[in-house]
Amino acid sequence: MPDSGSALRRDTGEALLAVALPALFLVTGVLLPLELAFPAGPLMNALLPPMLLGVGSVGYAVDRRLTREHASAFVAKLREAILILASSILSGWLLLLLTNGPPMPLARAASTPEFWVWLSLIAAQWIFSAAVYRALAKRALFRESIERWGHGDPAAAYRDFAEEAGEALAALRRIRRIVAFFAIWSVAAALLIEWILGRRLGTVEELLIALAFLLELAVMKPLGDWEREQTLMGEGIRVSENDRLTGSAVAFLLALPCLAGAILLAAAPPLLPQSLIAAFFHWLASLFNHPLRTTAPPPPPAPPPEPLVRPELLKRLAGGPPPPPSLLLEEIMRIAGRVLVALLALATLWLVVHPLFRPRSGKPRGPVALLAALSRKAAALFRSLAERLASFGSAVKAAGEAPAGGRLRAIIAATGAGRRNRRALPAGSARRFARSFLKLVQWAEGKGVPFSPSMGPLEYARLVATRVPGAAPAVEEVALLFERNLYAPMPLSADGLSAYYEKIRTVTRR
Amino acid sequence: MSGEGREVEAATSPIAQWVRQAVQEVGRSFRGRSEVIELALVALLCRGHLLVEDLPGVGKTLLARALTRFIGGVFRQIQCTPDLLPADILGVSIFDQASGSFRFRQGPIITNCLLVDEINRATPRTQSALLEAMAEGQVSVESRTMKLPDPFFLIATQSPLESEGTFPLPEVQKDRFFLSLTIGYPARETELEIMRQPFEEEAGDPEGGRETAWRVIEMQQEVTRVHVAESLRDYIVDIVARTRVEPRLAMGVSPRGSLALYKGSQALAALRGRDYVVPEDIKEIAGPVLSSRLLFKPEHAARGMTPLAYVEELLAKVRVPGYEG
Repeated sequence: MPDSGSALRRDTGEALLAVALPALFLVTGVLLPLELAFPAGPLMNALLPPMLLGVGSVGYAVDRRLTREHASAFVAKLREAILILASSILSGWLLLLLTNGPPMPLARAASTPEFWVWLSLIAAQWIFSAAVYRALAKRALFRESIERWGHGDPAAAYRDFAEEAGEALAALRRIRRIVAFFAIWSVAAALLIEWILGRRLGTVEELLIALAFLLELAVMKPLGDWEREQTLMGEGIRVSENDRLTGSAVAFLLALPCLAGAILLAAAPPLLPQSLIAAFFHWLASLFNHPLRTTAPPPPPAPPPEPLVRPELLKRLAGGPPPPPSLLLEEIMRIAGRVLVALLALATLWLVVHPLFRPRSGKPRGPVALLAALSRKAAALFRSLAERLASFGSAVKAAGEAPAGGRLRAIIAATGAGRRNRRALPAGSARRFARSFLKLVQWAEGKGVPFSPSMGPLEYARLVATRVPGAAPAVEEVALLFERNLYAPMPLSADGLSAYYEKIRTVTRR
Repeated sequence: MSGEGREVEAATSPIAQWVRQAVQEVGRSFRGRSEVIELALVALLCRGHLLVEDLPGVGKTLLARALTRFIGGVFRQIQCTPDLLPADILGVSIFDQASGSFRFRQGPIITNCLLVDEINRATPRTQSALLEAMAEGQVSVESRTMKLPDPFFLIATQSPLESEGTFPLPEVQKDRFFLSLTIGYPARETELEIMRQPFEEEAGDPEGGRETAWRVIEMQQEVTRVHVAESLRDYIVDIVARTRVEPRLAMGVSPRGSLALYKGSQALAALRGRDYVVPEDIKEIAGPVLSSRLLFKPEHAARGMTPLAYVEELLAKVRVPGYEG
């Protein structure tokens, strides 16, 4: 089993993506106090990217290690949720800080609408990052399983690890829906800024939003390739190891600052020379003669919608003096930006909706059937949400009867038990049974006892006994039970299985 | 097999108890190598025969005698020489002057345990007569067919050293032996102990010979009822199949060999007190069962590759079934 250092993925793209959650939290937790105490400005900002990478890599490795330490699913999700929330708040605060000049108390920042717009976008983006990260981890697990067990036959590998492949595919499909949702969200953010906040989106902002949109969609192609790859493997066709997904994940990560830039420019914070990030956007905007405001003005009344092509330009093109190249370029980019955003919005809508047109039976649905399908999906979603809320509510109620010290544990346990965990297998299933032994193997490998699939269970247990004498009796007992269940004429009884799983839990906690 | 002093597990089953008793009793004469005794018992329980390729003076005869006494049978020994004829083993008709007719005199093969010493010194014709008896369980002499006693256990020895004036068993003939083993020199402490007490009480109760022999037959039948999971049958076939496509080998393991591996693992499981086979049983018995059934190509044999080393290498490559779920 690779140690925490070697758990770092060679693929930088995946590392960057997986870095996002814990890294930003760590960096903002360190950088922010420093910025408050020593507003060094450009130097600190210049150090930000390498610090993000460096600390984030460590955070990634730690997070992977924690994942491998068999943290329960609830704890892992709770950790992610906390990281998302904290990083969202702190990153929003930090960026406002960097671009607004002197340190701004959180309370004051929270009174600005820009902050909340920013916060919601950041939170949404990080949630998506978490989903992609999880999907990548599942995919890595699937690949690791294949490499580990040395399958030369792709179809056999797919069959043996169908569950892992299925989980990865399910995560993949979830991501595609989320990507489509966030692509629409990017466009909605533009509309939000224009109509609700009353800011006028300029060319630069539109281009940045369009770029963010494109980058998000850039993830869709490799996701499709991945799904096709899984299907081909199921048919016994070996596919190339070329992995473009993580590269696209990097592209997606870049969508974030694009959106950030768009929001910042549209919200028009005062730009101070010492902020490199702000200076960059200032320079970018200056290329298009973008009128940057230096103070936060009161929300202006919503202006009338602009025509697609400005009248003065039309006049010039119709016969007047030729427009200057910069004006022409600006106008072309403005038009292109709006058209592109509109096209991409339509494309996203199609991406979200079109699977409903192609059900498994292969026959296209009519409008009535489509509406019925949409209604059923919406009803199922609400029902699921209601079930989860009810489960959580009853867990909280039940926890009220628990001793004070165990209330949180009781809530976690009750919520976990009430949730539909699609990853949990029946106690007697062969897959779960085999996996449980592999947990023991992973634990033993962590103690430095290498495993080979050519070793018998008892053989391996005796090897473990030589290296970890304290665990010898328990490990040997586990191996004996494992062999009995697999090779004896009668498998273990329910009690025997329970004892087996309990023994494994006891051993792997050492 | 594991080192000396390995205990038989789960001694509650009848076979396990019987084997433990056998190891104890036989071990009083044949000291310090319980794993060799266990292997011999595996061959006996599988109704197979044993080939011992070892140096002189390591205790082959002692093992055979002690084992025979324990199972309560009749022991015979044949010292092979180049002038040994098949009739000397199977039997011959002799003219009885008193009755004026020919009387058939059985050869030493009509016994429970036969030790054929230095089988490589006998001519191929004589070797064939023996091997035919091993395979058929009966002998045919002068149109007379005689079934061999039950249990019938043959231990053949051949020395790996001498080559002049010998007729080493060809590999196709070695395949007929259930397993082959080497005894090797005893450990230092064992050798010192042998020198202190060179002679031990002979094992076994001569009065209870018939009863013990019936017991062996029962054990042999009991062994065939040991469960072998389908996945482990595939495992055995996987192991054997690899020997047939190995480029270093001129001859891989035959179906007789895979059957021997199958039965041997059953016997070993029974020895360990289980009514089912586990992969460790197969891996443990694979060396003795398969090593005599492999024939290396000359260029690889010259490089010092031994059959046991190859079997170990092979076992390290074949996946044990069951981890996938």
